[in-house]
Amino acid sequence: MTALEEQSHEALATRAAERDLGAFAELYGRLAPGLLGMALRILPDHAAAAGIVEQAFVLFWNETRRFPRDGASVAAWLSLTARQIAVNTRRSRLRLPAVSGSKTSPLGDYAWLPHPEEIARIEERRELLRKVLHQLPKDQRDALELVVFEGLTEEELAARLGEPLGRVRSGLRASMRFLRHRLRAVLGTWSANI
Amino acid sequence: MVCQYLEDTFELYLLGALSRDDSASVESHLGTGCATCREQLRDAGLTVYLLCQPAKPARLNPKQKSHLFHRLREK
Repeated sequence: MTALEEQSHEALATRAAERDLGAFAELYGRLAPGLLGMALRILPDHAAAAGIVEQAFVLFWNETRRFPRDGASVAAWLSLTARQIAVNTRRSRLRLPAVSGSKTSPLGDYAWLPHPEEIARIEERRELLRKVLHQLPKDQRDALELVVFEGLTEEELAARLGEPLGRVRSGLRASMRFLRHRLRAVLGTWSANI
Repeated sequence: MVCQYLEDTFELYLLGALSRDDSASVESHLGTGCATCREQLRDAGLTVYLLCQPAKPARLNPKQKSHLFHRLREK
């Protein structure tokens, strides 16, 4: 049997579905520090952020048997799930409603999950991608941070910035379009002119 | 909303930043099984993953790991 350290996140998740705690501990060791770093951006209280990471891993433990066996990134699932829990915890403290789709959580099915190979390429090229983020004008970067790490909706962001909703909405969508196109370029070829 | 204009909404949909009406439009369209939009949703998943990554990971307290695995063993 291959050593746990040599297995992919997804292979470890498959073993976790068979209730292999050793494989799950390996997955935790790899991914929990990054998730905690993210949770601390959302909730600076260390105990609360650690609780978010724990909740995300418990959810994933419960989810492993249902989780797709091929082509779905475990790191992406854990990352966006932990972010959603953290954002909703923050919003609840501020007496704001939870963020979600109109009926259920957008993360509730697996259709959105990127391939593990694509996530691995993001990790390999993280420094380059950080430069891409900094190509956005500062006001657009700040607006994205408010959405991602404070969990503001488009309407809340417009109110926070004191700007018309239409302008805020167009700005956010333009930022996402820029990032999506640059990300495709970086993941598609090393020769992208970043 | 019309299909071709949905592309710029998928990241905000995954982040929960759309209004309820816009979220409902995205969900309703995805529910039709549109293959192009489902592919674009996966692209959006990549962008959102990138945006969520912290500048640096944080150190975990070993007690946090013990607490989690204690919970899992009890399940």
